[in-house]
Amino acid sequence: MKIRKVELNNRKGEFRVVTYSGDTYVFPYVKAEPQPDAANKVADAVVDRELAKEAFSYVLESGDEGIVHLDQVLEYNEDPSYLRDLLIYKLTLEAKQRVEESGLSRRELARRLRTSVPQLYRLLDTANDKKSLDQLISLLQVLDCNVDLRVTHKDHGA
Amino acid sequence: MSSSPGRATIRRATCTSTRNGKLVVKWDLENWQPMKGEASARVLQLIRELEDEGVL
Repeated sequence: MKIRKVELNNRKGEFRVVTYSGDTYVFPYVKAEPQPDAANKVADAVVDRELAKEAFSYVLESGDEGIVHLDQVLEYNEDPSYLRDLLIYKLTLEAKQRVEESGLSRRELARRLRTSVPQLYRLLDTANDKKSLDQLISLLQVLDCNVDLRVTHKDHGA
Repeated sequence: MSSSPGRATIRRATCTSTRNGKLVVKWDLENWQPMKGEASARVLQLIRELEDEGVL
């Protein structure tokens, strides 16, 4: 996901970030560092091409500069796709650790999972987010784990 | 980050490195694993140096 444009709003105290997928997110000044305020407003904000358009830079009236990464924006807005990728990543970390602890060979694990060794490596690749939750759950169960899912209400402002 | 133009942004427990406007790696500093892309030995060395300097 990349940023198409960023707009600043000193009156509301927020940035407005638009991605190439057409989604719009708000990111409040209070979450940025250095934090803009009424005495030191944002003078300019631009999409940072050097950072692969995955962040934007801003300049305060004082001359101080800051960078906000798209991950910060997505996390603040609780973007479902971002949270899903984070969950996949965390489960992959858990699976990797348990694979090491199990002492089983990759070949044996792939056999139990009824898949190929290359596919197993793709499952254990933390940088690969193109995998499904059920594949990871299957792997964890082969590793003798119980996977329980708990659904709760979000705790806002507590 | 290297002799070629590159930049790194630091956000909480991750470090994102880019070169020539393209993502190189997004690195999880807590678990020492890649979250996106691939880290060469040189990039990992630079990340370690930034940690040792207290920047990360």
